[in-house]
Amino acid sequence: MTPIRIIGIGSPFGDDRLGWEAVEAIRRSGLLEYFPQGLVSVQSCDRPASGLLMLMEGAAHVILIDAMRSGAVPGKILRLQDEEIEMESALLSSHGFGVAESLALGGALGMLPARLVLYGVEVRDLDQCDTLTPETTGALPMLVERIKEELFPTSMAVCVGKPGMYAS
Amino acid sequence: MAQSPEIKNREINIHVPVLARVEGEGALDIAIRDGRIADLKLRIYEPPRLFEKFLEGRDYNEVPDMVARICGICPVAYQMSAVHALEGIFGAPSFDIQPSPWVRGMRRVLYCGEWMESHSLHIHLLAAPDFLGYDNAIAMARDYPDEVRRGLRLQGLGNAIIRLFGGRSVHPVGVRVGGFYRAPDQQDVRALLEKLRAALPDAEALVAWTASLDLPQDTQPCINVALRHADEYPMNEGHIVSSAGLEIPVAEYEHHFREFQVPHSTALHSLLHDQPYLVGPLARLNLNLDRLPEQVTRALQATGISFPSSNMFHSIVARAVEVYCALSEAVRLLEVYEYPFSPYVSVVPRAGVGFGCTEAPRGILWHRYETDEQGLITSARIVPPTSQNQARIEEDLRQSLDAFGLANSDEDLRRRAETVIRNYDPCISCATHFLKLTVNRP
Repeated sequence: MTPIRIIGIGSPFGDDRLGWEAVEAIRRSGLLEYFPQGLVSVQSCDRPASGLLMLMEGAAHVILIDAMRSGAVPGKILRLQDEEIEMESALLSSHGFGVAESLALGGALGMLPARLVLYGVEVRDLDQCDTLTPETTGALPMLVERIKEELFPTSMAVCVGKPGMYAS
Repeated sequence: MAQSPEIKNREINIHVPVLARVEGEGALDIAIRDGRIADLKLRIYEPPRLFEKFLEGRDYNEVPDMVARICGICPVAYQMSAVHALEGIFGAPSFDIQPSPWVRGMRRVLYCGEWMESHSLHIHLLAAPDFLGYDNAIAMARDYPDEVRRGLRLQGLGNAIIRLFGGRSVHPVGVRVGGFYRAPDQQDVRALLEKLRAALPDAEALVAWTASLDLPQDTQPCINVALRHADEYPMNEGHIVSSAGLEIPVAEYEHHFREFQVPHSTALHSLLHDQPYLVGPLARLNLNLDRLPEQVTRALQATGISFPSSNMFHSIVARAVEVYCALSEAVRLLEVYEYPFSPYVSVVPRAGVGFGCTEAPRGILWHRYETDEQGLITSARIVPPTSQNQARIEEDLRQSLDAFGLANSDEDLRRRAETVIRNYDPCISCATHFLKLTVNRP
């Protein structure tokens, strides 16, 4: 269980696969090889509901990636951090129940990581197909770039951060 | 009958939206006239109907992956019913193909994971707030942090079991016709087993906690239906039995259970010999009390609640009992885990008809498939637990709202109706804390 975690949230339906495809894109990009083993991990999950809290347990910094529908142009990337997420994700996430409620629950129980960032990518309709629409696919390289920028400064901060952090 | 002006004519519409990712809706409409329920309709949206068509023409190997998509909460159940049905076709006795004991055991472990995950979520985040007087789990968590954390831990362990059998990516989760795509490493199994063992006291305490809740007393004798196995608490195998004395192999389901379309719902209603019936944890427990692991029986007896029970609200206790049962079973089976020679048995497709019925967290999930010589699906039929419970939920609503008192305010009636519906853990319950109420008064 690494201190920095990237979690792609999704379902098998069309553009809702965004979180999973983003995780694969990050793996393919070689981004993770910049970091010592055990520092950064990526994973996908399928509509985790409150299980999301256990996936984040013990992490110092979590980046969530999820599809969203806010009426913006498909492919638009939105970044929210900490309090912003709790306030807005109920309106933005395609996961009407899961993500917003889980994070609110995590907040009530003091279970959220010190630094929580949500990257939402605007998607179109969700359907039964197994692939992303071109607009959403087109957003992936930029998303990987944004997450790379996100990770470099924070990984350094985490590395010099707390003594004994990697004891476990 | 003409209505006189003084007759109270009140219509309550409760709108239940479902998850945003699937189209459709669930709703409850109650019309109260003359101080009595004149009409009551529960409308629920049911995705499996679409999937039956999608499956036609597909290769049998694609089925476990495709049906896993039907439900985000219980993908394992859909996979298990499907693979058992297909193996029933390809593994007919003359072909001498049966899943190995290893596969059989690990399928049970996988199912334990899904029960733990689904039941823990329902108990803590959906049902308990109703009984403790909160609007939602977030408000409840502030006053009951330890209980909710315990629930999240048990849910997380259920998820960890499922992930043990999955690959690196989310789908497919590792199930195939004949077994699994890969076997978990010994080391991973040992690490998880330690956590599962450590959680046994949590699961035992959960049973006591649910039994201590101030549950409404509303006894409603009804027909219970579940699987029953010769010597274990039912998950993947068994005959279909009822509290009215039915005992049939799963292949005979269609001779006794009748599904029919009602105008107000996209989900089919289902009746057993023309009667509504109950499936799910309470029915399963009522019919299989003598199949619980010993320590679980002791925990249940310690609650002082007498089972079999016809108080529908004892469902939450039954769910807790099944969390403890599933955790105990997972520990028992993983304690003797050995890395297999092969995690699956190869099958040779052929034409035929196969039936599968397993115990999804919400009750029996029945599948029927027909294949051609190449193993392509020519027809599929899927009967999920929520549609089987639909007639029972409507019957329950009529009885419990009557008993509760129709003179209560719309708000109180809505709350009670929600509580009753949620108690069955229908698939729509994922979203029921978003219930919106529209009241029309002429």
